[in-house]
Amino acid sequence: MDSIIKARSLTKLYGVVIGVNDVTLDLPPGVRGLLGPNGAGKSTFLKLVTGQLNPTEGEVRVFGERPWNNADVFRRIGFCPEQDSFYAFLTGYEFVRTLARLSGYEPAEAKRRAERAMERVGATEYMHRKIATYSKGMRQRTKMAQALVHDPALLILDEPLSGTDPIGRRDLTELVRGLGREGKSILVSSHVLHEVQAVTEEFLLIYGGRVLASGNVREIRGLMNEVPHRITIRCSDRKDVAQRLMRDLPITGIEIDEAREAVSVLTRDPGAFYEGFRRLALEDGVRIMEMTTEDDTMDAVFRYLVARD
Amino acid sequence: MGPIAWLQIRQMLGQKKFLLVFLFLAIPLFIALPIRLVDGFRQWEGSVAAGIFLYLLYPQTICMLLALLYGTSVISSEIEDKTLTYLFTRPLPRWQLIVGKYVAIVACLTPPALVSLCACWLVLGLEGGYEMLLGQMLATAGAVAAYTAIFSMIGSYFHKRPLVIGAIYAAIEILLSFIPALVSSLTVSYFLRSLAVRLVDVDLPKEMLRLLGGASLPGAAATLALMIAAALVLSSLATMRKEYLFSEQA
Repeated sequence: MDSIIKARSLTKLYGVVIGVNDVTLDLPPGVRGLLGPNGAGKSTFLKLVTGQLNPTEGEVRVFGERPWNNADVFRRIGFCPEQDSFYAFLTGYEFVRTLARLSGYEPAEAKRRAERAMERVGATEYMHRKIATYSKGMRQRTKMAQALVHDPALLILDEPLSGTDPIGRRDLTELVRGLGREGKSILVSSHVLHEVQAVTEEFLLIYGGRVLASGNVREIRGLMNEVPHRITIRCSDRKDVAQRLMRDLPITGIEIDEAREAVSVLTRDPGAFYEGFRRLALEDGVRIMEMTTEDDTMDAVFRYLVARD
Repeated sequence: MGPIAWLQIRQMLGQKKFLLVFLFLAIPLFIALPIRLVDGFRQWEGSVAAGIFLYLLYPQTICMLLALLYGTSVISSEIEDKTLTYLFTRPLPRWQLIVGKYVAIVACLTPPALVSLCACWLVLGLEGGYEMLLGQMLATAGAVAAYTAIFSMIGSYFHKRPLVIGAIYAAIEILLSFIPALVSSLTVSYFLRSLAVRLVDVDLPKEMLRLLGGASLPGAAATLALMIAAALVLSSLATMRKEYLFSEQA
């Protein structure tokens, strides 16, 4: 299958600061998440893909063409930016209609498309109000509408759920899923794993300007299991607990932290560890106050992958 | 280009900043009123003094200031508002962005400037000086058009502190325009002065006339048109080649 986005040694520097670092990838059509903590380089990567920035080194191609200053590419992509910025003196409808006009549509067609796009994102009710009066969720929907108004083949959504309420989040998630089912290619960035997981199983993980891994959720979890997980247990009888953990459970490292009254372990097999620990916890004489793991956070995922590299 | 011009006009007319335009354009009227009360220009050389007065106020100062204010912000305002993303991800040639904004700014600034100029002329009570008024109107419209193009070019190349760089240019332009010989003829002001004086039948020494504006009327108009075209081309080239970073990226 032909790639819609192709990057070769793609690098972007802001002076001496690295935005994107030597990224090589081929993204086939479909819905994909771009995951990374804040400052990982997601927005820079998306700006390179949408032709707003020019690579410092290497190249990026979208639909086989360089996107920088390329009207043919712009006709085929819809971009929903992260920043909460608008021509706030316009109504939502005027904003979307104007951007449809800038996409090359005649006034009547731009009007029809703007109405349809606003309806699609569920913004018809308030589309004739000034954007300045909109809530964050309304503004997110309006941004989505402008990205959809010219019916692009590739949608690039930078943190589209940021700041939305639960209903808005559900609606926008459903909208993105629906667009995916219609056959649109979508690249959606977020720093929240479950946001992206709600729309796709396919991920790209980016950190420090580099793409660390790509694949589906299972593959990425598999990668995570290659490096140890850290689990911290606050408990009584820490020396005794540590001995039993070393003897009975699959751990690769252990540390007693008397200051925090905790035992910290590293394991490559968290499933087996939790099962064995459940039995141990039920034994007499051990009092477990708290057990925490950092594995559910995106930061932990990236720390694992950086450590692996 | 149409939607860009429409967007720019809506933006300008909707901003409180536009009140400054009216404020600036009211200043000459407040200056003209006491001059009329003391019958100031009759003591001098009549329309010559009045012409210099109007020229210095309108094309040279107020039009330049207004063009500085709006021309330099063609790109920087979009960067500050973070709306440039919407314009730069559409299949719109970037020269259309510049030209569309330029046309809108000129269209918004020229009519109030001309109305203010005519009002000032009436307040001064310069009976019969229609040629002078026409010359001043030409120079005023030319100043808005030419300075907006030049400040748009400055704004396209220097999107950080464009106002400061524009102000430095303005100061240099004014200084150079009063240096006789070739130097003054390199300035926009020289050709604007030519527009202003060539329609007026005044009895002045040749050297004085040359200093005020030595180009013929068609020559001055053509040179200004060329200057405008060159500034817009350079401005368009800048937007096609430059990356504009938002503050967090910069």
